[in-house]
Amino acid sequence: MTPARFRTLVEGALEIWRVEATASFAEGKAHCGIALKNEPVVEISVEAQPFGTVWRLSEPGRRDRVHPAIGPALRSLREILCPDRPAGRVLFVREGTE
Amino acid sequence: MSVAPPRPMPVPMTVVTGFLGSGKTTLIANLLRRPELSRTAVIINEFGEIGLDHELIESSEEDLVELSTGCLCCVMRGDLTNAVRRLMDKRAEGRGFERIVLETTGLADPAPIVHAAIADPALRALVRLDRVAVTVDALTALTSLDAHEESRSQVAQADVLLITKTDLGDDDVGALLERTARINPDAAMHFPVRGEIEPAVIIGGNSRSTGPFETGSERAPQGEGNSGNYGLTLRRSEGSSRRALPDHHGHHHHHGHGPDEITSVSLRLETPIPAVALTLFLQALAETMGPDLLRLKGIVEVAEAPDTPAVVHGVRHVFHPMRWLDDWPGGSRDSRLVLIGKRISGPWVRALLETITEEVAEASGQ
Repeated sequence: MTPARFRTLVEGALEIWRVEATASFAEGKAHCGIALKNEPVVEISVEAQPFGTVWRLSEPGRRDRVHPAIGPALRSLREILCPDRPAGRVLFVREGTE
Repeated sequence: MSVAPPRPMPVPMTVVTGFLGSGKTTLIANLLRRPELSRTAVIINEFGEIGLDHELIESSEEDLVELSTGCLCCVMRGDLTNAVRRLMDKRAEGRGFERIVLETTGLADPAPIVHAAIADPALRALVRLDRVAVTVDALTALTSLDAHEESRSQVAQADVLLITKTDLGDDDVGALLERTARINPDAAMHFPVRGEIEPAVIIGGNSRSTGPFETGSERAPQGEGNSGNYGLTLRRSEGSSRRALPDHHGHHHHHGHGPDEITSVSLRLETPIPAVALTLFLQALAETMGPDLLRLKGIVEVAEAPDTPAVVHGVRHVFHPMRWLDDWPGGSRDSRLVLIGKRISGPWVRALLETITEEVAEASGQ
């Protein structure tokens, strides 16, 4: 995960969710802190572990959420930053019409 | 003294419109396989840089025009006249089509197109508007009607409403039929299954603005207040209500302007995508974007089946099983994805797909 792609992913999600947050990105690392109204809310990092790459979300005073893939990491981030936003769901229908 | 050649009679044109993903292309593709419609030229207007729908319609290149540089109802009405003129030139050279089907973008308000076909002298000399057929997705239309003026306008302008995908959900479509009947009580109503419909539903001998036409076997709501009565056959009479066409100068379109307006993102992918990565990508996309993802369509090279491109279709959160084509249309093997919605960023979509593809490769030890 390059720092540039990490930034694109985080900033893009904030834009989609219309979250008015301040994201501070670490130089040369896939790491950032997000603050809402100047209050730090969560830090996100992508780390290489012996068993593979993980996404770590750290909230002050709470146990870290660690995810093996971006999909669940984005789900957790949305729950932290905009818990009232309805969760998108996917329905694979049985037959295609278009 | 030379005598001017007689002007050809205007060709009947059916406008097929309907909100994003409601089944327009499927409908047209199926209709074109019918012998009754073998002599049909098609104009396809797509929203987005990369046009895909024309790849999914089997028609000779001479009889198909793709307009993918903008939305007809906004900025391209002159282009429509030019497209029709090009087709008519080919017709004069011997291409024997006898009708035109125009597929609009899913975001088109058909009113300006209808207005142009009726009132623009240049276009009127070439085509005679037959009817406006509007596809309405039974799974998602109530949401679209609530959220998008374009969707309401499409229903309001319909001569024929085609309620699609009624076979896919268990939901009662009664609420949808009530809603469409409140918007347009006069429209005939049909229920195609997998895009199958009798050609007579969308083509006829009568002009939209003149003469009664029998609507045969359709079920038609009888207007607000009678929404439970869907079993009656509607016969439209001359002079039946038509909604007023808006003044062109007062016609506004919002798609494409401002952060919350609808935009499209097109991706070309150089490398095949593993099936698992594609599925995870679609899930992450739909889950993250939620209601802001309106439409996704694409032709994708799946790594496990490189010779049979997969057609991907999603409308909001509803994704259809991938359909596999026998061969790559148009000769190009590039995967192409088009997403339409709000606040979509092309770099974000690409980064998401690349990340998921890498994660899948890592998990599978590649």
